[in-house]
Order: sequence, then C-alpha cells, then structure tokens
Amino acid sequence: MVNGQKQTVLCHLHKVLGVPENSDLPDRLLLKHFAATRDERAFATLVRRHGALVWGVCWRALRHTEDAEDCFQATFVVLARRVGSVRWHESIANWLYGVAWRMSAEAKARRTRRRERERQEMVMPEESPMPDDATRDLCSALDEELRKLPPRYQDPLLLCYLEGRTTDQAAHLLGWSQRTLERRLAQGRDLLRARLMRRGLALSTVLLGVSLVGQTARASVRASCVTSTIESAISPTAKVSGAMLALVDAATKGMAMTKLKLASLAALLLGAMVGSAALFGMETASNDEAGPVRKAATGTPDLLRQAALDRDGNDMEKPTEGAVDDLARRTWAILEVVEKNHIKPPNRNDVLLNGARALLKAANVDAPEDLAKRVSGVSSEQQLRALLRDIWPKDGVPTMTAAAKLENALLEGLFDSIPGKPYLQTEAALKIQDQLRANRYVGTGVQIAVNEKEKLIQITIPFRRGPALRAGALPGDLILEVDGKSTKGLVNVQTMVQMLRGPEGTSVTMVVRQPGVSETRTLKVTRGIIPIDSLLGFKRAGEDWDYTVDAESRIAYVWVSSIKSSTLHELRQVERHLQANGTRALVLDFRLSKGEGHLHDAALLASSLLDGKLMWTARDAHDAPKASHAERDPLFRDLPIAVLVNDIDDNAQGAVLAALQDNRRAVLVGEPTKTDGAIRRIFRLPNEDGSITVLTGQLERADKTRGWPVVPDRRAELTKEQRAEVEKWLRDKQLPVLPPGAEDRVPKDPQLTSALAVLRDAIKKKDSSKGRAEEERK
Amino acid sequence: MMPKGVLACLSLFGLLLTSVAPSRSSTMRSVAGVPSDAPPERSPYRPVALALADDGKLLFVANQRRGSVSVIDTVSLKVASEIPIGRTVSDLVITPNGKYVLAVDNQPGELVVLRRQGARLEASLRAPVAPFPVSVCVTSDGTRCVVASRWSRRLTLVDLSPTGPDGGISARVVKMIDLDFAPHAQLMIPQSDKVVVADSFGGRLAVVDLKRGDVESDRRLPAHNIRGLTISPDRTRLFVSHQVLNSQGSTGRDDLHWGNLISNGVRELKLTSVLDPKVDLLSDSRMHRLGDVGRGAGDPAGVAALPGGRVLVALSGVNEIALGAAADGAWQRIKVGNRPTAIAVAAEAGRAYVANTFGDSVSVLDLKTNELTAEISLGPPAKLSVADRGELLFHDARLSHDGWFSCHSCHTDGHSNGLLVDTRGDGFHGAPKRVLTLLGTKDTGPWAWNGRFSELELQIRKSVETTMQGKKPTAGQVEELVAYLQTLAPAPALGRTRENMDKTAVRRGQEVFGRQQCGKCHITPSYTSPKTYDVGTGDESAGDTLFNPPSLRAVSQAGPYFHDGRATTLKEVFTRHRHQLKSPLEREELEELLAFLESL
Repeated sequence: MVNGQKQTVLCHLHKVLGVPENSDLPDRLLLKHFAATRDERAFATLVRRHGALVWGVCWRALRHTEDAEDCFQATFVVLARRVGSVRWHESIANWLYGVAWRMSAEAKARRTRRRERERQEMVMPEESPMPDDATRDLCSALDEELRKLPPRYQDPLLLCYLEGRTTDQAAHLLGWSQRTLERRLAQGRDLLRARLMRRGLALSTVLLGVSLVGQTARASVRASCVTSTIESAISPTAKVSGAMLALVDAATKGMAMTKLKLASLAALLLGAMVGSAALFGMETASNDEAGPVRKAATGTPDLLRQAALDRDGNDMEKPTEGAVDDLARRTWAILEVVEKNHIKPPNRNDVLLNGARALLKAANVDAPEDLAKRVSGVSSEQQLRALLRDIWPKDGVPTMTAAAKLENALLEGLFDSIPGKPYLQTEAALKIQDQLRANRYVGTGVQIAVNEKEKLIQITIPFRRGPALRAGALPGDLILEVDGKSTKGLVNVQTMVQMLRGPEGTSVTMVVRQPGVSETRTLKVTRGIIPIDSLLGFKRAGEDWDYTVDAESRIAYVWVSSIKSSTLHELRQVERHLQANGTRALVLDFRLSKGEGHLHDAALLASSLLDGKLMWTARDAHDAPKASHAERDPLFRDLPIAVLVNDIDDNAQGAVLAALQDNRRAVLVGEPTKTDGAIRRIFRLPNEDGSITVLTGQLERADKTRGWPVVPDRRAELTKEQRAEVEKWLRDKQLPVLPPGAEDRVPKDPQLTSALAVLRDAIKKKDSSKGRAEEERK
Repeated sequence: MMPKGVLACLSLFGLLLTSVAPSRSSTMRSVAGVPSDAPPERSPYRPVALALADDGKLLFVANQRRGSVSVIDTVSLKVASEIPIGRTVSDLVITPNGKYVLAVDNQPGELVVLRRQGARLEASLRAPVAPFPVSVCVTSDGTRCVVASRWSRRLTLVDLSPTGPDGGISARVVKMIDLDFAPHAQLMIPQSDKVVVADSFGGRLAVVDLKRGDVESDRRLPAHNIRGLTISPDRTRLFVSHQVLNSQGSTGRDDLHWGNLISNGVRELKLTSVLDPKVDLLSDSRMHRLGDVGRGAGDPAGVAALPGGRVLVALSGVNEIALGAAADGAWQRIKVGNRPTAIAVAAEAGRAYVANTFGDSVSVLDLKTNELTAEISLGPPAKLSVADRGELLFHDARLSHDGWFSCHSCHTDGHSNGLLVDTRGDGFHGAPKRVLTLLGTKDTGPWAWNGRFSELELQIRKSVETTMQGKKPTAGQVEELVAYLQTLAPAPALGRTRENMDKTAVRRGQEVFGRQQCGKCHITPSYTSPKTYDVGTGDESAGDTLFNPPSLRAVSQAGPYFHDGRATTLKEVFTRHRHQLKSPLEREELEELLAFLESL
C-alpha cells in the first residue's frame, strides 16, 4: 500500500529536476570538499540531490512560484555560507528540510505583512491552485509532524519517502547499515503514523496528498532556478533578488552564533591561525607579532553589525519575534548547563535576574518593580520565552544591531553573576582551537597580513618546515599573483586565505616580490601538513635544534612554548636525541608558555615525567574526587630537571608544574605563576549554537599542604628590560629564520643562570654519591 | 536442571581429566603419536615457532593449524618434509644436544618429544601437561623443560632423562607451579636455573626458580600484549617486546595520531634487576619505541638480539620487521609476509628467519645487507573461510589509523588485556572502561558496557571507526569479523583447568548464587542479560551509571572486575565492594560462591 504511493512520489520527484545525480559521495564529504575548494560541481550535486525535497517544503508552504523560488535559493545560500561552521551529518536532508521550513514560515510572515501594506495599492498574484483545502491541510500536517521527529527518524523518512530513494541508497548516504536504516525507517514511520493519527489523519492518505500536490502545475522547480541557486550560493557577487537576501539574513540571524565574547570569524582570521582538519586546509592570516598560536580572540559584534548593514547600506529591518525566542532557547540551554555542571552552581533566579536587569538597562528601560518576582516564577523554557517577550522593548527594537546589543547585555548580565565567568565560543572557533591543539594542519604554511603602503597582501612569516618556506618564500614577500590571477589591490585577507587553501598534496603557484624590489619570484607550493612544534631548543641548528645550553656539564634546554596533542611525542623525540648525546641534566622553560588549556594534554605530559606518582586530584560538584596517577613509563629517567617559571596563567601548564614540584621531580626556578587550579569544561550548546565553557572543578595538588599559585622552589627575578629581551628571544624561536641582522644571541637571563647552577649541583651530587658507592664496593 | 553451557564445560573438563589423569610419566614409544584426524591438505599452516639445528642448516617450523612440523633445508631454501605431530602445535624447541625436538600440543594438552635425526623426526612420546600449553623452553643442560599453560595458569616442570644408550628418553612431570596470571612467552636464563615468564594478556613478568620450583618474583611492566622475550648476546640485558596503553590517553583522533594512546616498543631491562626480586624491575631500563607518527608499528611480536647491539623485532600487525641499533633508536623497517611473529637467528650464517603466521611462509633476511633474500612457502595456499579472513582482519593493525594497533592489541588472542581504555563509548572523556573479553562474545549481547549495541556488527563498526580511528570497514570486512568472533568460545574456567574443583563447594556455591539472586541479572546460560542496571558503581566524573552485566562465563579468567577494574580479584568483588549482596556472606558461603564462579 505504502509502497505504491512511494512509487508515485518517486516518479514525481525524478521529474522535478531531470538531472541524474553524478556522485554518490555522502553529503558531508561533498560539503567538506566544497568548503575546501569551492568546487561548483560538489555544490551542484547537493542542489540536485536535495532540490526536490527543499522545493517540496517551500512549495507546499507557499504555493507561489516566485516566493518558493526565493526560499529555495535562500536555503542553499545559507548552506553555502554556513558550510564551514556547522558539524555536518552524513546527510544534510534534515538540516535542509528544517531551514527550508523556517525559511518558508518567514516568507509567509513577510508576505502577510507585505500584503497588509500593499493591500490598497495592488492586486497580489494569486496562489497556484491546490487540489483542495483538505490536501493543503494534509501537506502542512505532514511537514509539521515530520519536522518534529528526531533526526535519526527524520532522515530515513525524508530520503526514502520525500526524495524517493531506495533503502540501500539512503543507507549509503547516511552512512548506516541497511539494517539500521530499515529499522529506523520502520520506527520513524510508526512514530509519524501515530502522530498523524492524533490529528485524525492516516499516513497513507497524507502521502497520497503530498504526491497529488506534486502533480499540480508549476509544482516542480524550474531549471533556471536551480542554475541561479547554484550561482548565487557559490559566488557572493551573483545577482539575486532582494527578497531572497532578506530571507537569508533573517535565517542567518535566527541561527546566528552568540555574539558575546564572540570569537567571530573575522577576529579569527585577523588574529589567530586558521587551520583545518588534515584533508582540507586553510591558510593563516595574522597581524599579530606574537606568533601564530594564540587563544581565540575576544571579538565584538562588529561582524554581525556589518552583516546587518551591508545590503544597500541600510540597516536591517526590525528583528522578528523569532529572535527573542532564539535568545530564550539559548539562555535556557546556558542556564541548564551551568546548573548541571558548575562546581558551585549559583542560584538560577539570581543569574536570570541579573541578566534581565542588564538587558533592560541596555534598552534604557526601567526595570519593573515585580521583575524579581517574575523571574523567580520562571521554571521552564516556555516561561522564560514569555518573560523575555514581555520585557523586550514593547515598541520593538529598531535594528539588528540594537537587538544584538540587548542580547549581549543579557548574556553579560548572566555571566557576571556566575563564578569563574563562563564564555561562549562559536563552532568555527572551537574547530580551529581543536586543530591548533592537534597540531595537524594542512596548508601552504604562511602567515599573511595586509601591507597598507603597497596595497598588497604580504607574507609575514613562512612557517618553519612549512611548504611555503621550502618553496623559497621569505618573510615580507608581497603576493602579486596566485595561480595566474593577479591579486593587485586585493586587501581582503580572508579572500587570500580562500585562494591559498586546499587539500593536502595539491599545489598553488604564487608570484611574489620583496618590498622595494622590482624583481619577482615564482613559488610553487605543495600544500602539506605544517608541524608547529611545541618544544623548541636552545639554538638553531639548520632545520633542527641544538638543545645544549651548557656543553661542559652536558645540560640541555627545551622551551615548552605550549602544550598540545603532539607535545608528548615531541618530548619522546627530544629524549631520544638527548640520550644519544649523553645529556646529564635538563632545563624545561615554561616561561611565556601559551596554553591550549587542555588538562588532558597536560596530564599526558606530566604523566610522562613522573613514574607512577600521584599528579593531582580533581574535584567537582557531583562526584568523588578523582586522583590522577602517572604512567610507570617515564622519560628522562634519573635525569635532574630544573623548570623555569614565571607569571603564566594557564591552568594546564600550572598543573604540570605543580605535579613536578610536589613529586620533587624538578626544581622550579623563577617567579610565582598566576594559575588557580580551576578546571573548566567546554559544553556544546544545542542547535549548533557553539559552546559554553564553565568552571566545573578544582584541582587539588598532590602535596595537600600546597595550594595555588605555584611558587618556585628558588626565586629568581628578571628586570623589566631583561624580561623584554628574554621574551623576544623566546618569541624569535618560532620564526622560521631570524630577521636580517638579528642574531641568535642569548640574553642575560638570571633565571636560567640560577637553574643551571641548581643542575650543576645535582650532577655533582650524583657523581660523588656514585663515587662513594663504588668505593664502598671496593 | 543443568544449564547447557555448564554441561558443555563439564564434558570438556571430562576430556581433559582423562588425558591428564592416567600417568604423569611416559616413556618412549616406537610409533609417533600422530592423531588420526590430521587436518585436510588445504587447511592453513599458521607457522608460530622456529628452531634451528645442525649449525643453522635445518630450520624446524611449528605449524599451529595443521598440527605439524615443517623442516626447511636452509641451504636449498626448500621445505624438506612436513611431519604431523598433533592437533594444534603452539611452540617448539630443540634440546641443546640437538637430539630432540620438544613441542607442545595445545588441544590435548601434551608435551610432544620427537627424536631427531637430521631432517627426520623419528619417534615420539607424549606427556600430559597442565591443560592449554602455549610455550616450552629447555634448560641449557637439556635435562629439564618448562611448559607454560595459559588457561590453567601453570608451569609444568618436566624432567627429561635418557632411558638407555639407544637414545631413548623419558619425560616425568616433577612439579606444577601455579601462577597468578595466564602465561605465554618464556625465556630460560642461561646458567641460572631461572626462567622468565610473561603474561599472555597484561604486563606481568614472573621469575621462576627451577631448583626450588617456586615463583621468585611476580612484577608488573607498564605493558600489555607481551609477545617476545630475548636476552642480549652478552647476557646482561633482557629485551621484551610489547605494547603500552597510556591510561592518560583516549581514543580520539589526536591521541591516536601522536602515539599518546598506544605505543609499540621493546623494553630493554637490566638482567640483574630482573633476577633480583627486591629491586625495581624498571631500574636502569630503556624503552625503545617502534614506529612513528604516520607509520605505527602495531603488535610487536618475536624479538631477537643480534651481535653488535642490534635488535630485530617482528611487527606482526603491519607485516614488517624492524631492525635497529638499540643505542641510537633508529629503526629500519622491512616488509615481510603476512603477520610475522617468530624469529630465529643463524648468527654464523648472518641470517634471520621470520615466520609469517598468516602468510604460511618463512622470510629469510640477510643480516649483512639488511635485505630479504627469500620467502619460503610452506605449502600450497589454503582456502580461507569467512571466519579465517575475519581472523586476519582481527590481527591487522592497518585497520587502525596509521597502523598503531589491531583488535588483537587490546583483545589479545580474542581475550582482554585487562586494562582500561577511554573509548568514549558514552560520549565523554575521562571515564575509561575495562576491555572486555571477546571469547564467547556471540552469546553475550548487547555489546558495550552501556549495552548500546544490539548487534555485534554495530559494535565492530564503532570500534573500527572511532576507537581505532580507521577507515570505514566494508560490509564484507564486518561480516568476516563477525564470523571470526562467533568462532571464539568462552575461555575454560580456572576451577576446571586447575582440576582442583571441590564439587560439593561448587554445588553449595550455586545455592548461594541463587539465594543472593545473582541470577536476576546474570541469567543462565550466558550469565548475563540484555538489560542495563545501576549497581552503584558509576561514580566517575562523567559517563554512565547503567551497565550491561558482563557474562560470568569464565569469570575466573576475566579480572580485574567491574567497568573500571576497581576489584583486582573475584573475592574483592564481594569483600571490598559487596557487589549487590542481599545479605552478608558468611566466610564459608563466600568460598563456596567463589568456587561456583570459578567453575563457570
């Protein structure tokens, strides 16, 4: 029975686009490929693959060709824009379905408003005729119920019933086994059937209704629409209708990432390294001299404001109620995460009240007297939504910018009253952070910035052991051409990043010249993994390091510039190298060490030095304290270690230092840290709203008599000038080659001197005790 | 009514009993005791052990699956003969005088002694040893041999004495030594009456004194899957090939990629530290890491120490051997046949032989040029069943990201290394779970600690894709792995393999089991149930509190216990953790309950 209708739907759907699919790659891979290469074919395949589904939703909701086409286009434009910021599932059918549905709802609302304005002036074009009202109801019932199903049921239903795929095609696209697909399809069908039943509808009737809609005139998307959709999604400059843009903006706004402490895409591109997973890489762009590794910057909502402004220079129209609802949803999710996980969860009412007050203050509205009472009555997302709608300025918020400000105020207010102030990060920022941590980026290995004087983009640093450096790139090189295209006048760093990035193994040709020189050079750069060492030595030795700081006493020096996933591996390499050289003692310099902030990586590092000892105990709000013990497989066994330390504030680094000190594995030399042993965890927010980082626990030191910060065993301080010189010397280690004229000269460094004295003593002691033991044996 | 599983176990036990009970001493018989049900011609060879004789002119190969010994003429590089000697031959050595080949036959549980004349193995005697023997070694004077038996966790000390001038020999079991772990590799320390015995699964390393016949020390290496033991030519260092599972690592892509979770290596121990029970086993030791980022060296197996400080290791998971100088840590890797496991070195000839267990061949390495000179096939290629192909995959480290490890790495020989791994099966960091045995797994669904997978197939897919971070397995591969896992029977219970079961205690223990309502969750015959329960053990900072009860079949072989291994012994489950006791256990009741559990 159902099968028969499925056939009908299937026939209809094949008619819709008339273009056979040319690839059977899962959506996720196509998107990944598209994100990396902007390959039009990948995107076109997706449009063709899911076009019928998206068109169906839009058409059923609007029954108006132009409006449906706007929604259709807008859905895919949003897809193209968000391609890098969403964690995609194997199939994007349900994502598209959801976006198209919201888009249609928005278009419908706009149409109603527009009609009200235009009522007297003109006659609106008629909706296309539907077979009858009953069918219309059937369609909207189906879409409404389908939309509410969890993705694991929605996906198979969309693919098999609305896109007309066979079960094995669907299983392939979703990356499931046939059995799983069939089971979920059956379960989903039962769920849907039950839900429709409640509305007094039979599933078979509804599916029949949907297929009937498909048979009406103008029910299929026009080929021209498909083509222009692909064009407008791929090229930002393509001509598109204003209505569609408005829809895109509304949708982007609805899904907008949190604007507070927003590590916005712009901030990242300008301030931090942009990496990507091993397969497809990005380039990095930086105006920052401190080097490529930097915490995701705290941004301002500028990007958002820009987005709101850039259509014809007009500020966006009034935000819809949807914006308030989104805010309520996000706020509620934040409150839940904090309450469940915070080490000392603050009173929810107090937090909310603080947020509400901040919002009202930002809106220049006096807080109603009963605000506290109303806040205390909020115990569900619905109630929060009602409250926010209630206190949201009655005469409306004039612009998107203003709305964003209110939202920021609310979230700031919330966070100010939560101990250890949480912060939000976007999906994109999280991803980049992960990649930095993982030390596996693919790219050409350059840091770029705009050279204002020359109006060109300039390579500030070609990374050590990076492909560009290997190809002959020099610091300061101005980029004149990329793959035969002139980049004259191009001062948008982001565009250049897009031009340079690509998958591992592919190459890019650049024409460059040094400033003030007319001679140009052509570089052919093959993109590859750019290892960014976290451990650096004392002096440069070609592409490698010379670790020797004291040749006579055979003492080696390692700067722990950061701790990331590769650090343990790097330390093992260093050990092998030092063992072969007969090293007798080691200085580990943690000064200026930048944290990626992961306790996990810190634990791996500490564990590799401590031979089974207790490292620390973690306490949180809910569970028994959890003691972490080192593995019994230490590096540098029996080698005396001195650690240089100053006012670093990363708690992961602090944990390593404390564990080394408490187990007397190393002598700490220098100044106290600024670490406080707080453990923060990252929680993903629902609906791809990025993440929130919350204070969840506290590290207790192995030596219970000691607390935070970590105080060195031996104090040694630097003067302001010495410190500046030492920091410059350390930072310069990250440069692939020293700037012309600069020498790898070791600055005056009383902290290092003190550490070396400690180690020479330790070596002496070892020798004399060894001598004594030998004498005793004699 | 007796549950089916117990019946099956009992009958197995009966069989073992008859084979071991009649006589502890055998004398030479004139006819080789070849079982009549020799495997069909086309079955795989599965060479697992090598021994050289006559100054390296002859190489003897133990073929596990065919129950035979192949003899290779190393001059012509041809197989001279294949002699069936039993059912499943797991190891072989040649006595120092070269006159006898000693082999162990796993299934009937026997030591097989063969008199050798050149390439001919003439006659044999078969002496029953502790059930499930896996390895054999012989003292330097050839008067004694030691057989290590896995599931009975025992060493059998056998005296070998000549019975007359005609070359006859008798084998007399003089002692059984109980171990606290299931043994596998062993190494006789020359001129010392001491044998070093390594764990089959985890990282235990025991030293047994043969004169006194006791365990002198039983210590732990930070290691698992120990597959090779050898001594340096100057007899000062012991080399142990194994894997290391870092308890701080997790199965995320990054940790796997950078070798933070699993690393493969050879640990060089000081022999004096090994032999002195009072010192730290690891003092003055060195770890030589094999493989590198981008090129893992999964499942190191046989190891040989060459003159001049070089070390040769078989990398069984990636079908390579690694040859390096221990001093500088630089390793050269050479491709050999499928699953290289055992190594034999003919130092004078400057050659090493490598047994390719799944390749049914022996590779010949020239130690001067460091090049392979030949690969000797043991016979025509076998026809592999679906399960056989699954077995190949199970041991293939190339299934994982960069070849760091295989299924076998943690589920060693289908069992468990007993360690905890943070596979984030519940979506959280920081709640590592104990690796479960796969022996008997077909009857113990659903899978995963939280019982998340209703189909074995799904668990396999998840393990390959997320735990091993490998490529998505094909449907065919998954089918093969499932077929292989379905051939794995539960391990035999310790109470039965040790043959010291008090039947009355077992019966009473079963009553205690009933009274305490253990059977509510651990339902016979698989002693598990498809549901998950909160038994008050889920207290970690993240993760699950509801667990699927592990099967109690062979629970005596499965420790440590609970999802996080918090109980080291079965006894502790009740004494320290009072696991779901309805009423306090009297001392006697506890002993009876343990006897019952050890019989399962």
